[in-house]
Amino acid sequence: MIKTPNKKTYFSYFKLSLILIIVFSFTSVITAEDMKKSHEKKIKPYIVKIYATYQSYNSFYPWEKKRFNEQSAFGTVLDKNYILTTADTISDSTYIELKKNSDETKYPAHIVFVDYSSNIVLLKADDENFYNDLSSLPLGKGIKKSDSIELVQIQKNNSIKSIKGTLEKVSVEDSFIGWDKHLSYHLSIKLDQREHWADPVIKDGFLEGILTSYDANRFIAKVIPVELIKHFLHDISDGKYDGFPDSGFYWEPLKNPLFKEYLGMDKKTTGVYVARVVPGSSADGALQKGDILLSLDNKEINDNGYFIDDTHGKLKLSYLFTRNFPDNILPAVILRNGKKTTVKLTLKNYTSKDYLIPVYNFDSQPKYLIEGGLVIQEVTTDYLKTWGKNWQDVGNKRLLYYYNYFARSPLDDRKRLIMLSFVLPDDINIGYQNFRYQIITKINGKKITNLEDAANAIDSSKSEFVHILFQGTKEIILKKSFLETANKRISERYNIHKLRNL
Amino acid sequence: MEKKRLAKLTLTIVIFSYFFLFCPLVYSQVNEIQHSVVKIITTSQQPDYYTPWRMKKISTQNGTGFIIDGERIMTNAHVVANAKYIIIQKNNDPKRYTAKIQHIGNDCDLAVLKVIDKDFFKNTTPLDFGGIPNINDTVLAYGYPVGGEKASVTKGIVSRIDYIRYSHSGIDYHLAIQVDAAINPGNSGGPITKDGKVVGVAFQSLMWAQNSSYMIPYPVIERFLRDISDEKYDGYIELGFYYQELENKALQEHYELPENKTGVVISSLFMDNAKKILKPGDILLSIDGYKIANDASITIWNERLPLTEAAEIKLAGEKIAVTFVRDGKILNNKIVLMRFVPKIELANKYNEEPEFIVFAGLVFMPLSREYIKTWGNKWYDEANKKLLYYYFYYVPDEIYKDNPYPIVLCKRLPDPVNTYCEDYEDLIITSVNGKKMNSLREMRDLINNIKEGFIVIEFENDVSPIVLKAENIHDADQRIMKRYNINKMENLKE
Repeated sequence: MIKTPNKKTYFSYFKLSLILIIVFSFTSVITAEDMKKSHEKKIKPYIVKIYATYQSYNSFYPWEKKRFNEQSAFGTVLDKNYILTTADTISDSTYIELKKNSDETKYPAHIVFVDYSSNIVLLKADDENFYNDLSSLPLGKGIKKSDSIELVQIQKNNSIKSIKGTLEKVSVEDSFIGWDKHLSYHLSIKLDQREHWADPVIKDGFLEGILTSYDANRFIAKVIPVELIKHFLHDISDGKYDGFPDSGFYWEPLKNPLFKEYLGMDKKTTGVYVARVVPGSSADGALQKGDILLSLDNKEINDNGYFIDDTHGKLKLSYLFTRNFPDNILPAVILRNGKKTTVKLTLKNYTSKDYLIPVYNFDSQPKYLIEGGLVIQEVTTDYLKTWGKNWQDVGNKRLLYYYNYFARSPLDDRKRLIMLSFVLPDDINIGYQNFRYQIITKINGKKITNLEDAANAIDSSKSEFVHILFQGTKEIILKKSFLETANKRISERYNIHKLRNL
Repeated sequence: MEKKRLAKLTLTIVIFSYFFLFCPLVYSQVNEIQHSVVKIITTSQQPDYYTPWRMKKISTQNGTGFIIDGERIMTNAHVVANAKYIIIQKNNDPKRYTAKIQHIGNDCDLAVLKVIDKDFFKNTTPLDFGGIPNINDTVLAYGYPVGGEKASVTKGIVSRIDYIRYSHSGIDYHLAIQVDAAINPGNSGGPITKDGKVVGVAFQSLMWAQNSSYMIPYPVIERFLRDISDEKYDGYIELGFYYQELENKALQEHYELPENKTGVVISSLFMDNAKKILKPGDILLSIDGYKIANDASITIWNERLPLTEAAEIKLAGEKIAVTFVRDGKILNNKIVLMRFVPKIELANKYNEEPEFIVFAGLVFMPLSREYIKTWGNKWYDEANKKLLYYYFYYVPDEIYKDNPYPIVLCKRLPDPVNTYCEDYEDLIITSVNGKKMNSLREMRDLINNIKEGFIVIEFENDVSPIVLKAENIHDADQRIMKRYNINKMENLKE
């Protein structure tokens, strides 16, 4: 878009200056010379580049890692030497480096706090000297619809560039990784080909958000708003990360006037229908299936599940949860069996790790257990994705059913679905070698609610057999006294150094 | 040049002389059989499960059949599937005869037809059946394959005897014999003969392998003919239990498989007759006198086949002997075999109109394979995941126990009466006005009896209930019938 004149182009001096004038009138390019000038004025840059090497685990063979790869993003320097970027930049990272635009040295860095739900991470350079020649950017107060902003990038030639845009929409949306819902800014802005992400969004010298994605067809950039960043910083101010509270219930709009009539509601009263309450969540104990939620945190809920936010106007009710903190108490007015009642919800952080089928598992090895060649694992979204691009269609239908309908809440008293994913063939498992994706219900008579249960049931059983029962009609029996030698044989044959990761 | 011509001439002579020496006998036999092989032209129309009051377009398909005793014509069920009109032609006879389905077995892909004009059978010889051919035997396939009008004969070799899925019903597994003859569409229903006797009926081929066709072998044909001998086709029975192979040593030890014995362990039972005789944990040693190996196979028809093959030839109501071990004792007993009739249609459905009700523009149908198939070619992956799970795991996960007859809201025909009923498509209902529904008829009756007030339909999924007012429905139904050109608002099973 912006042509930098080079030696090979024969522009007349006049033409060149004209172009420069045009360029300056639309975007401001801070050249090396300007950098010097700003240095003189003691304004140091606050934007850096981040390079992360990452290597994720192979969910199908959970003892193995996949090939490693690299990705990069921008980082914004905040108070206390924190460097802010999006969490997806450093997920499964093995090594992180920082680079300033003023020199070519790469400085190693480490993660201080990370939250994948809101997609925010704070890094710090290992070496304090990194922060020389850098300034920190103060946090803004949040922007409003139609506000103009600037998006700042470091270009290939190390110059700093800013691009103007406007805030088009503020909404509450699914997190990039799962079902959590967070506030999001949509900017109307024209951007070039992306090499880096997490560009800071600035208004009047204050940070108002960082970029997460860009739709090149509609010229819409999605931005993590400063509200979320502040929430995160406030959360960690006590040195501990608690996360965002989750609503813990499914709701449906109350569009049908006949349904309202049936419930005995007058036409003016609005609310949403509580369709399911997740056990152990914020809503558990306060709300019930069939309740009509009329107001929450003293905000009226309309029939489509929106409330009026003081700053941003109409927003989805989920934001009433995520803008709060765990252990806060929210009052809710509900209609239950025709009667108005006030209940109190004690907020809880209920996220991927609490789900029956976790949505993500970054930075740690998937749990597994190999006994007699039987590979026993948790059913996770990462595992389901091993079916490939169309995993939501071509995967095992029983697992997909649980994923689609029960992923977010415990099933019976099961915290995880535990399955035999496949069998490493060996003499000990003749007759079982075709078993695949079988959900384990019991081992030696004990109910299996998570992988630790499975390990304990096998280890602590005094029976001479290990008896595994599956959902449906199948079972596996192994002789306990043969396990040790078989395990040794299998770990050597298939080159598996660790037969367990619990 | 000269040499080449000479070579050609010699070759021709060799071939001719070969024919001269061996062919008259074979040729006359071929000719005779061809007289009994007929062309079947079926005009069919299939119901549309997407809009169940409608039929899909009319189509015509060709197949083959052959004359058997009792002035009957045998063919594949799929040749006459959804037939509205059937025409039969003999080889080298211009006359067209109309025929009717006398008996059809969709589970074994066989049918027998009756020709209305009895003159049809004048001067025809019914074909006789032979037994099971051996591997490597040469067989002849007769039929009217695409690409010509006349009967054709093709030679093939019996390559294997197997137990495979019959694609016509989609869910039944039976014995089948693979032949390497080039059997093409149009050959279906044609006889495959060895030494002038029918040893099979051509019926399906492997899509991904060339020249690999299957025929329905004699035991399946013989069972079908025996089943219809009482003028009624009952269909295949089920043993009514699931078993697990006893190949693993620890499994054998745990279940105390007696020394020098082999068998399988009974894991669960889903039919009452089997439950009367067997219990989970029993070790089944033999079935109908066939000794069961630890991999669940028996030697039958000179092949190792799954133990279920022993029950294949049995008819409903017949008994099968079982020898099993319980508490260290060897016991002998007999199971009365019955058909397994689930409340929902697990197999492909033919010659029947779909069951449905429509009210307030909402179309309800029971879960069925045909309904799930409306998702298109890759229905088994792309259909609604809950419906797929209920369908595939209906028996193994015992869904039939809690939810034997899942009723699905299939479609909404938009109308003011159902403005707020969008987003409910393909959800399974749990109740209507608080009552669990066991059949569509029950649901229809309940709704018809509510003349005033609310109709509340609840669903299994996490959605709010549908709420309608009974007094609005009658007018809406009239309007919807007109607007969407619906000729009937229900089709219910007896």
